[in-house]
Amino acid sequence: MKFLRRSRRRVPDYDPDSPDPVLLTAVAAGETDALEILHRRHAPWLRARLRYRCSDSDQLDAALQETFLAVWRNAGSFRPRPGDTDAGAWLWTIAIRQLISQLRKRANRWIAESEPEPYETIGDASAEDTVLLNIEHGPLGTALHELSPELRSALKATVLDGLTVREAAEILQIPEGTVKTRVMRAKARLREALTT
Amino acid sequence: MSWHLDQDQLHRYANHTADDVTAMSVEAHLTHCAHCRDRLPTDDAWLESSWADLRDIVDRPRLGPVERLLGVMGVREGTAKLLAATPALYRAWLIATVVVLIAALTLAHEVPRGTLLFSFTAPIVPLIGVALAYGRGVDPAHTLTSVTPWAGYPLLLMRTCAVLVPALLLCTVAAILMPSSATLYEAVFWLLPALAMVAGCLTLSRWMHLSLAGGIVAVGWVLTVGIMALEGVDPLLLFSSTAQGCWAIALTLLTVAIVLRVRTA
Amino acid sequence: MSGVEGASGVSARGLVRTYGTRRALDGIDLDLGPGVTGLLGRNGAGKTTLMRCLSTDLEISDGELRVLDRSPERSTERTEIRRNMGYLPQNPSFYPHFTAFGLLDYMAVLKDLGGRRERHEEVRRALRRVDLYDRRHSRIRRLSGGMRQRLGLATALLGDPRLLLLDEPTVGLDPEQRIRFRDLVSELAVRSTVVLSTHQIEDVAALCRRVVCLDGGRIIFDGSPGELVDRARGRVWEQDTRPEEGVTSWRLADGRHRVLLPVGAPAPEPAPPGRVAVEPSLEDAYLLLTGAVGGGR
Repeated sequence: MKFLRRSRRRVPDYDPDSPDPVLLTAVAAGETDALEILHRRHAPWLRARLRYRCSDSDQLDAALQETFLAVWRNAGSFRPRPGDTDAGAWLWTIAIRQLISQLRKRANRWIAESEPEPYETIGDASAEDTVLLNIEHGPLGTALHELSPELRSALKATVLDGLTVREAAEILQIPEGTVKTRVMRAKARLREALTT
Repeated sequence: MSWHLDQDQLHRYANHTADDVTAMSVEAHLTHCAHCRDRLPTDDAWLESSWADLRDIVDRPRLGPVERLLGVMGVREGTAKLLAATPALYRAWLIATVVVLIAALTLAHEVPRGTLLFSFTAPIVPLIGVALAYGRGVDPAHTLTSVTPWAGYPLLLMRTCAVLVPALLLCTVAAILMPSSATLYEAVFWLLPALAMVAGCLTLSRWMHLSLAGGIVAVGWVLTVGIMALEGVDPLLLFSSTAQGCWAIALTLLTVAIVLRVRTA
Repeated sequence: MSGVEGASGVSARGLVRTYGTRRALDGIDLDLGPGVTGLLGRNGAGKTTLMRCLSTDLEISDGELRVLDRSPERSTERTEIRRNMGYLPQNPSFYPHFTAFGLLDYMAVLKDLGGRRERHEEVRRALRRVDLYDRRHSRIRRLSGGMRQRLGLATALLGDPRLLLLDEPTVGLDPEQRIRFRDLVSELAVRSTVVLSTHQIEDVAALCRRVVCLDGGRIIFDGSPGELVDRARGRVWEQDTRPEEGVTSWRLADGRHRVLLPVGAPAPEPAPPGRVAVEPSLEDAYLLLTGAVGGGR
């Protein structure tokens, strides 16, 4: 069925410089070459970023492969915001969740994997996210520096990586309640630092 | 994006030596900045092998149902491919077989002594399939396959298996559906002659085209049955227990001959 | 294994192949090494029979033949030859319901090219080489004649063979694809022995360091294209009038006639009007060669 549906979809013209949405449309139409371009474009930074969250390179590569397989299967579900020519954020939400699912597999190998939920672009970048874009240059940078590593990683998982509390708990391997309190404390500290 | 990461930041980030806060900053930036992502140092060898792994999965041709079934049954992937790829005439033979067996069944249930048709066609059904399985003329890609390491007996025997399994299955099903089918003998009396004739055809193929060899054996069978009927001898004697013994001996001898030939060829 | 790796050639002594009483090959002596060798000859001259003998498809009737330093008559050695040889038969036909990828994959299994992953890589490489990668998942029945020809070429290229036998490989290719084909073959010929049986003299002129001409199952010329052309020098003219019967000639676009004077025949006197000796092409030389032996027109 999938095969038939794919072959009927129109393949857009694309080349190595095409924007992500065009390539994703081509991937949705079954073009492996378009997937290769996306892979070349995004796999290196996704891998570098995942490496800051998992030191096991086998799991990391497995997560990355699953990420692009998910892209291959779900490319059609990518809905860019008007004018957005970049799928980086969307890819990251897939990649980080694939990493969590890899870690989960390692932890409970005997538990059957549940169907992953469909991937959606995260809505508008949160206010914190926008501020974070410039942390090195603003007072927030200093404030972050002063946070304890535990608070920082909780903030990183929830704010920067856009994970839910539950997912953050999994990747940080701490209870959900702890995640919540750490995030609250971290935010309070930052607010404090920014207002004083 | 109004500003970009400098080379040093990118380098430290890529080498996993950036501190926590810098890493967070770089990441927040990279998520939205294609320009800096492109400048991130890349391990090309890793990228290439990672893509090769991925392509191996996304660019795999879809398997046909037969090939998938064979895979589930534990047949090696390459062997399954060889078994599933059959010459153009295979399907025609399969359809003809089904039609003939249905006709034989109908006849057996409707006409007195109608089972005779089945008795004398069942033994040559596998033979005809084998005769159409290999060689110039019946296999469109024969000119390509005939000069591969698998050409000759290995491929011929592979194709023979691909024919025998469905042929024997169909004939057995038909035999079981026969009105008189009560004993084991009545279900499988045709089996030994059928196998012996296939073996005969394979042996003859050493000297001639496989289809010709199959034709000769089939004509021999039809003539024998015809002559026996004309001479007033009951052709069913061909399935008597004495005859079954002879078929078994013939099958053994021919199989040995084929094995020897395969070993030395 | 090492023997095959090292030896890439063909060596034949007194090779004979008969069909009934007809001798399709009648005493062929031939040694071939790396590089492209063009096999020329009219239809029925024995080109395809020779190719099929070299490819181990046909058994030889008499004489001696070694391919890749192995004897095709012994089964284990024959298998070894087949592992290291690529053969594109004349007018190859395929299973039309297969995809291009599927067919090559099937052929790769028959050629023992390793496990699935390795095999698929090889299939992709072959498809890229003949520029069919984009059509790899198309069914063969949907491919054009030229594409099928290239698909046949791809089957021959599988496994990077030491010996490549190509029977009429450029039939159905458009000029652009022919250029690509030439490029590919000359690249392969650096390491491999390539035998090209063809009617396309331009391909021979462009590709071959050596030309072997067959007629009536015998070799009538074996040398470089330059040597073949030398033989025709001084025997090719252009003139205003059509020459008398018995001389190969054809009318050119400008109304003049190109005349090939058979070897040994005296030039007609007095010279016909407008006669100019011209530089012979390989085609002229080939026509003169086969014309001279076959009795001419």
